[in-house]
Amino acid sequence: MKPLLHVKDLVVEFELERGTLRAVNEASLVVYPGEIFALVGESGSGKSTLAFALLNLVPPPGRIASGRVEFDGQDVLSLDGNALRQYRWRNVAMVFQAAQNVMNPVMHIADHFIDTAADHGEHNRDAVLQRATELLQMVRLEPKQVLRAYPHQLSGGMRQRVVIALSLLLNPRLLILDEPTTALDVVTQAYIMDILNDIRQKTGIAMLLLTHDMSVVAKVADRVGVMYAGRLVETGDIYTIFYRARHPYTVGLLNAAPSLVGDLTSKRPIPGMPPDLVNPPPGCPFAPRCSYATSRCETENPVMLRIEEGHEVACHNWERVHV
Amino acid sequence: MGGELNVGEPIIELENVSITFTRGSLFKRTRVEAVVHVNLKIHEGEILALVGESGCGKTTLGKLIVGVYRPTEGVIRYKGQDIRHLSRDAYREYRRNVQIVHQDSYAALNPVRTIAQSLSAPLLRYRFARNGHEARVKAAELLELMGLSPAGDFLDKYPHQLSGGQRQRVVLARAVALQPKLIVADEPVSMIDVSLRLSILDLMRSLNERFGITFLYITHDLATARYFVQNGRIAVMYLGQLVEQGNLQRVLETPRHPYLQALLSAVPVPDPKKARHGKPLPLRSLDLPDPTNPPSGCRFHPRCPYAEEICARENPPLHLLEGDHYAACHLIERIPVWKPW
Repeated sequence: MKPLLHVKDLVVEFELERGTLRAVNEASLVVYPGEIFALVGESGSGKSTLAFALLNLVPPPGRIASGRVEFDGQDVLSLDGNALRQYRWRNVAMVFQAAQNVMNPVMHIADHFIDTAADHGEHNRDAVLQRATELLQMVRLEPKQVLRAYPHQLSGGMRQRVVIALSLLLNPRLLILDEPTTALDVVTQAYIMDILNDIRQKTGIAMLLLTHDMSVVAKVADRVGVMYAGRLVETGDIYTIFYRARHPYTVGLLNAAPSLVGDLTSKRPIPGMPPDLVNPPPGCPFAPRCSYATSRCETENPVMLRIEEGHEVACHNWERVHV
Repeated sequence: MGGELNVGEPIIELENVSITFTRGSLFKRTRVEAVVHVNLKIHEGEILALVGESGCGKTTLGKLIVGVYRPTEGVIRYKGQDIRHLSRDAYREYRRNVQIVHQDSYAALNPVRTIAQSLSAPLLRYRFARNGHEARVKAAELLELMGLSPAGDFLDKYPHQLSGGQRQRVVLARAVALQPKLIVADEPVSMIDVSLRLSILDLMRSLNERFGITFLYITHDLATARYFVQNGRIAVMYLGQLVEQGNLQRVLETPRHPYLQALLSAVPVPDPKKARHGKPLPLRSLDLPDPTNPPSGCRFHPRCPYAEEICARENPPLHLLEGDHYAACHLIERIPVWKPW
């Protein structure tokens, strides 16, 4: 299948007083049409910065230093003006972190839909409201009530669903969701994940899901990329990552995820802390925390290696690593 | 270990405790009953999890226990004595012995004080150290105890120079400095990176095992509660009330209250095969009711898939099921026993 989104060797840097911080470091990934790709990483791993770069929206003092982003074969980073505007929201829409709090408090929900459409050249009010009604039904809200409401009249979970509906207004082919369930209650979380699955099934839209939570990944993702210190360290399909991971960090994350099922004695934290990205260690960034590390890991940064069909790992010792 | 085996006398007892907050103007006042008729004992040496979703009143209950809020109704006892009637010295002892650790470690520490200064202040105030030098030595010992080693690397740092996990260890050190009997830990790991969460919970467990410090672990996260509490107890809160409590393993294996059943069925598990085959218990409504206008009868009835006429009329008391397992539901004998996985 032809990729919908293709990121190649992307580097994003921030110029800070104390030096250059490489938030995304030679990251490559592919998202296929209609799939849910989960990008997993902890705070500071670079997943949000990578998502901003996909929209060419890296905030200063950050900049895309090198690499390429292709959407449907088209070079995204060279787009500007109207073409960039068309690309954002019509091709790729993003639901930002804590998006339930981004709506304008003095505007009715209906006006959020009308304004967004007008901004992208669609001025037929009735058509927009018709589309909004369909989308609100898709996220299981009562359109008549919700369209008339102000944001503060809705709960956090309802607002999050409105934002998801709004992001779908211009029929994007890829939806980026940054921690879409993190601030929400468990029952609402489960409901939203169910809705996302539903939307994907009904529309065939692809999703790039950014999260720190392995349990969320387990529930909805088709494929997974694991990020550490700005790098992709392992990619594979969902079952490969959960049952046959070969990167020590992926295995560590799985062991560190508390669970309501299974044995607690296998659960343990990952020792140490993520590296300072202004002065990263010379070799593998995970080596200082890794129980498999050898002297080679301290000097030579491993590249992504395809170890089987659809499974890539950046680790010198992957053959010794097991879940 | 922990929990049942080495549990002593109640250190804190809540008897019929309620707290109501009023806000708004003179003409339009709203009342929120944040905690409603709660009965709970916390025994010396145990680890107890208080679990509920945001807005259920669990943080307010924690603040009542440490004496930050006073109940509008009911009695809170510390070691058998009503805290309203403690002598000045006994009240001071209670406040020293019952410490709280909050979610946001950055907000908990004074940003313009070094770690050594933040730790020295309580040591000097409660005379665990006679002078600044002694306080600094003690502060260093505490940091080592919390896994911040060598302590010399941390004493003269400011809070912003530490990571979230390190700061939370400092906050724990400050609580432990006063040799407390009970630490109320309110979402202590929810702002910490996943890979480090278990290490903070492990640290708290070691404080329980080594020093017998009792923990009330307040959280929305059932999975971390299971990890931390192990064989201790859990109490589940919904809209200000306790709806189920008992030994954590027993409660999670055979949840009896429909709210806990729904909650457990919604918790995602880090295993794709199980996660995709779990059967969620369908609720009649997704959102919490307005706390200023709580439902009549059982507060869960508008969302409950099993609710009957009696549920809208009467608030069910906690029924004893077996052992120390209690649940507050009129239909407890009739609703299906439910297995999440």
